[in-house]
Amino acid sequence: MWIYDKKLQYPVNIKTPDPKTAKIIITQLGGPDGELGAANRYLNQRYSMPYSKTVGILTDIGTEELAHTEMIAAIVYQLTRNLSMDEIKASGFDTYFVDHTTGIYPVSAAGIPFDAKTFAVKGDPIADLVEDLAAEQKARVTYDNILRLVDDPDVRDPIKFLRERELVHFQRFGDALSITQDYLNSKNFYAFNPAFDKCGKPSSSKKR
Amino acid sequence: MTTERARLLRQVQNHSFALNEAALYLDGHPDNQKARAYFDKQRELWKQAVADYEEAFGPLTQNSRASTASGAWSWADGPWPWEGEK
Repeated sequence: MWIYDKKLQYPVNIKTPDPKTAKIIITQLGGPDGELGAANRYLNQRYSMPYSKTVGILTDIGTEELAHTEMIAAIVYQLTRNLSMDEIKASGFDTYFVDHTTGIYPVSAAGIPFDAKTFAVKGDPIADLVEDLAAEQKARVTYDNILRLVDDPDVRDPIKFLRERELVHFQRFGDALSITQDYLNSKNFYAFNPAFDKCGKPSSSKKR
Repeated sequence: MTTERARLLRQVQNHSFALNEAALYLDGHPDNQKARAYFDKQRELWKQAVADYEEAFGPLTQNSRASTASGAWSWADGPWPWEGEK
């Protein structure tokens, strides 16, 4: 189970509202490579992961991604505070506003609602971990692109933190993949699914 | 048959759930002294239950104690909660 910590993982303090930027950044909540998909992908992949260290890595990264959904929401919230109707119309935020006012709803930058397909659970450790490595890189690229589009240092600072976490998570998923491959016969990485087939899953695996 | 692990964990679950319930009620009734006293009492019992469990079986949360009595890093050790109790 989870317990809520009344703090952000990294501070978000934005002085100047900017609804146009909000509409871009919300993609890291509800978009194809966003934090909501990441958190649920990792937490749901845990159950079929046969090696305990890898379960630990997925638990910890999945939990951190939940905290990142809150950071993105905080950024969007602060960017859309105290807006006038003129600012809403001029910025293009009106297409979001009409459906959600200034509430936080997970959509991509193009306005497509969150899709659970981003959870991407295959139930095979190699397939799932390689998916996770790619997911971290795709999220990193999205943050790179946000940094190309946004100048406000108040916004860039927490975005840079989040970008850095994608790199760290990529490294840790690299560890998880190598731990998994160490358990498998190197000639047969792709010959069976150790989450489902009996072979490749030593009885003591949970302790390792 | 109940193992020592399951027994100590049940203590944590019981007091933790009592805290959950009391806190949820107090959110809407912050001035209720009876509920507040219950929360405070359960919180002491919960703290002791967590200490007893972690001493014997390792950390319940990432930020609590990193290891078991042996000193080895044990946060990522199984069994995991969804595997069921043995």
